[in-house]
Amino acid sequence: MTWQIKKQDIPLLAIGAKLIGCGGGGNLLTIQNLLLSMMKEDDTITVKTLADLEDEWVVGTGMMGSTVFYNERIPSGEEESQALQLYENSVQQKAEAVISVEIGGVNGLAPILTAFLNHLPVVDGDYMGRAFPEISMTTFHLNQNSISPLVLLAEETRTIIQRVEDIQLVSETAKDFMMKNGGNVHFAGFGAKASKVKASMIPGSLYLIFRLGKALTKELRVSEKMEEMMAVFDNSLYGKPIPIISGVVSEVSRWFESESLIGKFAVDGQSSFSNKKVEIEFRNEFISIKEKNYICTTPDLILVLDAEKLSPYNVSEIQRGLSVIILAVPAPNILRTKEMLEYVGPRNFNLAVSYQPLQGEHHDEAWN
Amino acid sequence: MKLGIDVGGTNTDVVIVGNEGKLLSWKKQLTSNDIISGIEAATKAVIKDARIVPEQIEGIFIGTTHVQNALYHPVQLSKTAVIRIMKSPSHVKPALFWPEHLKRYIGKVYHLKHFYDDSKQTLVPQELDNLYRDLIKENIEAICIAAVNSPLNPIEEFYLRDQLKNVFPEMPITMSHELGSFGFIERENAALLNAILSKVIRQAMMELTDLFRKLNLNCPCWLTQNDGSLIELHEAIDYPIFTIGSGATNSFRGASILSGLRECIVVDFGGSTIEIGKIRNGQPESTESSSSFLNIDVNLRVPKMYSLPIGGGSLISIDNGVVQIKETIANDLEHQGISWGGDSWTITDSFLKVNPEMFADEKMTLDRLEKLSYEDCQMVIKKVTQEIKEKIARLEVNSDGLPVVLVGGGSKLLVNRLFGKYKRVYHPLCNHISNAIGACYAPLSAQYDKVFWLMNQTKEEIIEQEKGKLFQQLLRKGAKEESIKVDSIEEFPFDYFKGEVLRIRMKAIGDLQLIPAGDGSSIKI
Repeated sequence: MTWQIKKQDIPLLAIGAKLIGCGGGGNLLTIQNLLLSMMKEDDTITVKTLADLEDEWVVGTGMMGSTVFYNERIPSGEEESQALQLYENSVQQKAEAVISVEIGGVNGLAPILTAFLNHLPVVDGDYMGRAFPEISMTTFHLNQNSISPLVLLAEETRTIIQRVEDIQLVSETAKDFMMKNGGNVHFAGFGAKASKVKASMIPGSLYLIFRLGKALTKELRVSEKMEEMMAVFDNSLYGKPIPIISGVVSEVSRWFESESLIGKFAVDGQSSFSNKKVEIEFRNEFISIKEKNYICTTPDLILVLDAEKLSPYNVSEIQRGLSVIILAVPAPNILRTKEMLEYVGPRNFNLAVSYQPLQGEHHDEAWN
Repeated sequence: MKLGIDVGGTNTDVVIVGNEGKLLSWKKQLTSNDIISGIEAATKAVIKDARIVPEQIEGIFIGTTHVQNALYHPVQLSKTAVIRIMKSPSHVKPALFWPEHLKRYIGKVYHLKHFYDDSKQTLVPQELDNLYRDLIKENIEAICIAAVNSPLNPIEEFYLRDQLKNVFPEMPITMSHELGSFGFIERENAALLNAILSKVIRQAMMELTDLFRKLNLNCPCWLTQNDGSLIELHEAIDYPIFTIGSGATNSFRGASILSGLRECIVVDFGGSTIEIGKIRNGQPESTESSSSFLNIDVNLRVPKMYSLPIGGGSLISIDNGVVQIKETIANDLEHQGISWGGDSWTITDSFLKVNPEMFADEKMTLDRLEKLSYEDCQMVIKKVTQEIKEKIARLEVNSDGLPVVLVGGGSKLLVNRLFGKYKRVYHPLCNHISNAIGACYAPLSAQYDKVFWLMNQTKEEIIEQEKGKLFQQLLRKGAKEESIKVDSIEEFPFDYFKGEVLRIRMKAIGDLQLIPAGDGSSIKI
């Protein structure tokens, strides 16, 4: 059944999208403020769930590249709608719904703005189930849907990548255009008929970030909030979160390599975890947790939360001295299939291990 | 010798500290409604008590919540125009999450297109003339200029500021690049708040200048900033937002000076709040991540601290065996508290029930504590100390065993309560005036928060070059050369962008020349 997004839901969606971004996907302040600036109190956006989709032509919109620049050169708000229009002209077909390509971070909310401005419904689902750095890391691509044509819009110029089937080539062409034009661009693409969308998307992820945001903003004690959040995940395509550690960030190193923000940090356990120490590696997103050996790797989700408010941290906010709680969340099954692990498994993030499901996933462990 | 002044919500404290670090006199006085008469009375009292003449004072150091209060209870705020310089106007509204009582001071939002091209200025004169006319028509009292990319290249903000100054020489103008780094919304917020506060600070500075002249105090005068360092009175006029959070920092520094400890945790137990912070290497530690005032994201450096909404005057109730800590009656504690013959059960009463010998003043009548249950009071104490211990633990990263220094009016309640045998806890003399003392020992600082494109230079070369600039700035401000050092360097590499882009935030500090080093060599009393 369809549901509605109202103006007051936007901050909740922003928190949920940040949480599920697992440290990546950027700071959501600008996209959130854009939506809040443009929506009036009684405006609504219709959300179509899996069951509501019939044979609509569904298009993905969002931004690619540096979210630092996105938050500095604040968009007018109309960029993705312009990109959508160019896309529609190019494929000679009108979009009947929009969808998020990446539910984690800025791109979890960007299609909502496109939907709002173009009076279109937005689909309850996405093609990543979290945040990932490459367009090849999508269930859309996994299902052999063609990424091209892809419209890219920069401040001064625009381009359409079309008739390119090789995903690596699309990706490189897009990045090249982005680098030459200021470091971030807005896109429209990933067009498909509803039947294909249904088969390839991760359904319900928009509703999930809404419920997560709601759980995290309730006036509750940390332990109660934690239970609420656990229950939300438990009642979704994702697995129940597993508490890894509660402690303090003791060392952080961060550097820049081949277009990614790379680094690691250590967490020294406190109270019931006082003898434990873990290391988290990141590459745009949090990608692994190591104790002696790896205990969690991508595509499973690593959530780093403020120990007092349970609000999520992204990679660039991690600083020495923060008190954090770290959870590992089993990713939806589609991300853990052999085929999808070829794109989103540990080796795609330069980790020298094979994917192992999370330990302790199947027995219920209570959070203390 | 130095005159230290701390203007808080409840009390105005003034101290005189001699050149060898001897506390010559102090005065605690209720903060007056007009602020200034309280300062005047307390200052006259300390000068008299110290048996000195005003000419002997060589520097005045003020920590005040005055500017901060103006944000909570808006008075003297300026009607402010925002001028955005960007490629195309954004639908993002300025001041989106601001409380309504501040939002209404935003007069008008103007848009200019980027007007520098290959370092040539292309602004149309007609456009500027229209702007000037409209600013006059709208009765604008202050201006905030926020240009996209200004942290990387501030030339447009400077150019427009200069043009506006020519036409409106008296107009306070804030340029966003001076108040923040990348992240347009936070930077615009900070610049806008700063501009709105320009009348408040001008008024306060004028009154202070007049007062000190009247009292024959003709020495230099500094305010303490959010990060605990000094800013000269005339310089502070352009940066009021830098002074909105200095109270706690001064108290932490004072605790370090009074105890002689250069590494410690400080617990400032006041009437309405408990503030817990940390001193590292003699300096209060500041936050590295985002910060906010009144829920407005501003990304300014503020002290890293935990503020518990609990104080000596907090009311207590027990519901179903669970302790509830409620609002504070700090200002009326001595009328309504049970220990003073009143009927309100407070945290102070709970501590006194269990340890009646802890402190006494002539107005207290402890017999009324009879009606409180000993066990309930134990529960209250346990809850309060538990919360403090938790926050202390959070500040103790990799540095277990840091001593704890207790300061503030309620701190005597905590003595022997925090850690028993295994932890060193200090409760220095004069802890109740640690803010005013801390202000006297604040260092000078210079800082830099800029974005660099690493093209022809390495990161190390840029850091060296910027360090040199900061040291020069400190010398000009009057720092002792041998005391100048880098306090912190943080690097934030940018994601995704080809060719390295790096934001560097660096801060250097140095001791003020006229004063013997505030190196924790301990104050003599």
